[in-house]
Amino acid sequence: MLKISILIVFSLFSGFIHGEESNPTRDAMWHYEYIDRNHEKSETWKHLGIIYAASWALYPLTQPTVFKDNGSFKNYGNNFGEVVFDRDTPFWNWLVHPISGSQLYLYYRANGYNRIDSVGLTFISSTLFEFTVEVYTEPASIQDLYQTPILGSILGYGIENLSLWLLNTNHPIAKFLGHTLNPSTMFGFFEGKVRTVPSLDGKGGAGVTFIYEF
Amino acid sequence: MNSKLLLFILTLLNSTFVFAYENEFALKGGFSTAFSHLKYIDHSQDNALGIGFNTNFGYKFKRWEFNLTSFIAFGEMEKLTYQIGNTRVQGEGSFNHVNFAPTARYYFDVKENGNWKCYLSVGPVWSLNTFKLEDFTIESGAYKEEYRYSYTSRGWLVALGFEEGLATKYLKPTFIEFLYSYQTAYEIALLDNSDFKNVETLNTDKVRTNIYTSIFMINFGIVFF
Repeated sequence: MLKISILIVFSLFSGFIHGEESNPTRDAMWHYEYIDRNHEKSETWKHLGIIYAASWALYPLTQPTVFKDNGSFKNYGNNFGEVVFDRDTPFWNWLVHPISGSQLYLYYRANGYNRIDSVGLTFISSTLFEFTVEVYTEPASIQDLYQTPILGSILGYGIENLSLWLLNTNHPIAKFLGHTLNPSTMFGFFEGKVRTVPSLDGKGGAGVTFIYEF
Repeated sequence: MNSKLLLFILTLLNSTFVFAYENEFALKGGFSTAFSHLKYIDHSQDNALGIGFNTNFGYKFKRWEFNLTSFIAFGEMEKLTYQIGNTRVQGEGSFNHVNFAPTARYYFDVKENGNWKCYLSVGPVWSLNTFKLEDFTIESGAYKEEYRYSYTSRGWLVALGFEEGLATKYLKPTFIEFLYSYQTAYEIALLDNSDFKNVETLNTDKVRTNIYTSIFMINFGIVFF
């Protein structure tokens, strides 16, 4: 039994070594990256408007109890313009808000904004949410005003790099994880999805052509 | 002649790179170690070591940099007396300090054409300090393990730091910073954390006896972008 076990382990190991020596790779139809470009003001306003409308739709859907029990236009008037330290637990301040901020950051990155511009737009979007949407239930929070864009952008920067690496392995599970971490890469607005086309020069040389679509 | 000219040009170029990147936004962050000293009601006081993290976002000119700064520390506190309204508790447990500060920073050379730049940073600071008591004695009123005691403070900070003077921020310059902050509390609150998704504020009050917090931190990190 011991001899059979050693034989099986040896076979697997030698198969692994054989695999390393031949070094096969997966054929990748797509290459993922971030392409920074300039934007017209109208385009930036459009993206800010989309995010603002989405925040109005998502807030009552994600916090129905708070929206129903604490929300009113009277509260909106009382809370408008007020800024406080909120007493929320770390679950909200250090998990939910940074994750939300990271996805805002990655949305703007997917639409061709560079990193600093994405931080700025995330700041604008989260500030609009704090001062004009969430005031329906509670005053704007100092922690959320800072942590959503700043911690969110740092987290988003990490997710950006990790998701690109996962997506470009072309492994199905890695690609699933990459898209899950960075959902903006799944949609048509993601500008960094590049078609790869294998090319042969007829003289024994091979390469890959990247096609950027405008 | 050519070698002398080349040497002159290289020296000139090197001297113009003294301030590394400039006229750019930058996002920085990293980890922190903190030493906190609390002076509390009834003259109770305590020292605590903690760890945490720091973030910085701002715009750097040539010598001046203006930032939004945050630093957060977690740690353990021992015997302190806490009071709000009729509730008076003595206990020990864990704490977290969450600080926010707009800061102005001035860079100067450590030595001519050196690779490290020194800076001095100052600014007002506001913080939220929360205590979770794990071992406590109730002297009066009602208190449960799910309750949290928190107070908000304001004060000033000053920091001395060193940052790598690299040609571009995309090389992710490293920094190390020694920060001191002194704050006094202006509002205290008793919170019920039974439902972690919805914290209930049981009582708030203005600070009636001074609560002083001194924090000394060593922050280190990198420029992300």
